[in-house]
Amino acid sequence: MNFTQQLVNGIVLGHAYALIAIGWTVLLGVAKLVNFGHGQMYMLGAFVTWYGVSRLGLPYFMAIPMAMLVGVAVGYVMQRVMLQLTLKQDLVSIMIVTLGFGYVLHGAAALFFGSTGQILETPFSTKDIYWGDLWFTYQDIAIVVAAILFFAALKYVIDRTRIGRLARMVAEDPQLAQLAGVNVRRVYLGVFAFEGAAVALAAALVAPRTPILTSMGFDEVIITFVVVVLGGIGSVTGSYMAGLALGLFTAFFGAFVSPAYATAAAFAVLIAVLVIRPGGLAVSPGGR
Amino acid sequence: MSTRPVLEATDLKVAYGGNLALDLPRIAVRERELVGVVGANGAGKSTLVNGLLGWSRGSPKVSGSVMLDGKDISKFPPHERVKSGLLLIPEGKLVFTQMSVEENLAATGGAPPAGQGRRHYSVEDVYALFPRLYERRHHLGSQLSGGERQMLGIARALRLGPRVLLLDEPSIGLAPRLVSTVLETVRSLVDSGLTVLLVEQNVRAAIEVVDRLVLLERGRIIAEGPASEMRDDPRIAEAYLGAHVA
Repeated sequence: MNFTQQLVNGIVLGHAYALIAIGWTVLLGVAKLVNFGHGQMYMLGAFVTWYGVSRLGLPYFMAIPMAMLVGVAVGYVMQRVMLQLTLKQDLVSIMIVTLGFGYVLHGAAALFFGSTGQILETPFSTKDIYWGDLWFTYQDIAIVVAAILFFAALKYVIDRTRIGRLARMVAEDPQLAQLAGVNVRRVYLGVFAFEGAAVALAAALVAPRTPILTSMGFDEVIITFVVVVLGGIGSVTGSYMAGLALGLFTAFFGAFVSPAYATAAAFAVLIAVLVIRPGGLAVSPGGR
Repeated sequence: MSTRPVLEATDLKVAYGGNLALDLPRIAVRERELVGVVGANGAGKSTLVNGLLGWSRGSPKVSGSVMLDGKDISKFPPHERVKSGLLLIPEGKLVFTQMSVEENLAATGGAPPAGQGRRHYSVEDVYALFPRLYERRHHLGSQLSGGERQMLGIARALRLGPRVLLLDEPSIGLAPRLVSTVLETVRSLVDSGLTVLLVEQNVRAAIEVVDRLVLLERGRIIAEGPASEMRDDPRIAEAYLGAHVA
């Protein structure tokens, strides 16, 4: 267990965490919403990609957009169903509805895909790279590159474009946004569709690292929660930094202390950070 | 001044949890007119302008019809009414504080449709109107003073191509000198062709600039007329202008 190898593992893991959390970051930043079905949407993204590749025989690059489209559809339907709750910002009901959606997705996926574990093999995941003592796969590189590109693109869209401006208006004050002629419902629907696409993309890239099961999703939603809160709710840059920090922490703690307590230790750090900096690591909240 | 009302509401009723806060058989604003709605705290002034837009930070029940240029817009959600040219500058939080002045003034949709009496204001136009905003264009909304926020609120609404502007208590929290500056700006906008409904608690300042005054009390209109006549109305003079009428 050398230091550099753990650094590489941590960086890959961190980018994977950040990528998994990105949909929630925008969701929480813009709509002030939570989605506890996020983990099951991740699971669904992984299985749709797997289905595309191993059952339909699609190339991996075609299976990814297919999974993202399914994610968009699920996100849209979910938000359409609970739009009234969203407009009232009824967080407790939204929590329960999204949790329920997660279980429905879990059941539906088990029915359709079966309950046995599968391996999502991609053209990258089987190609190893040895670099001195270091070992990683092309899939790992794909995760890091995709995460960086996705975060940079999202930051650009939110800060510099009209759509980003509309999202920030709704994030700051949905009522005032209405007075600026913004169709707030449409923004909410769009954000949820984006959340679905983003988590499906993350799943298509990250899930090949481990076997996939229709019962998975809990770890992913918890990690996402930690990343989003640690990063400062709704902060794009903050989420990226928090994901990276959590990945490095998990890798080093797992290697030098014990992997069994890595999650517990991560939460201990989260509690400490939140007590010292209630706003998370990022300074400016509200969609940045 | 034409007599055709640009904005007309009939049977406008707004209730908060069963309490009728506003009950107006009719209120109308004519083309290029500056109508002032005055009254004490809780008279229903904000409820009126919010009701015209079907908008609120609370959750009231609004009924009645609202016509803009003869078109019934009462079934429209607030953002659609805004797109039709009915623009509200609300009381209190009226700008995006986490955005710069420039971003507050950036277009949110396509250009507002020309014609139908709607005026298009470019960014340059509003900076010409409020040079102070140009100086502070890179500042965040939260860094602006109360007067600057009021200017930005008005400028933001102008950018959306108003047919009718609804202003809710622009003088609140402003120094007396700024109050007259803001109200004179509103007057000059009307003189250049805009139609405005102004809600104001500061009757003394409002009566100097408005064409017509509407006095609200407990959600009902108790007096209305040209500003010059209303100035001598005992209910206005006594209660709001501090005159002693025998």
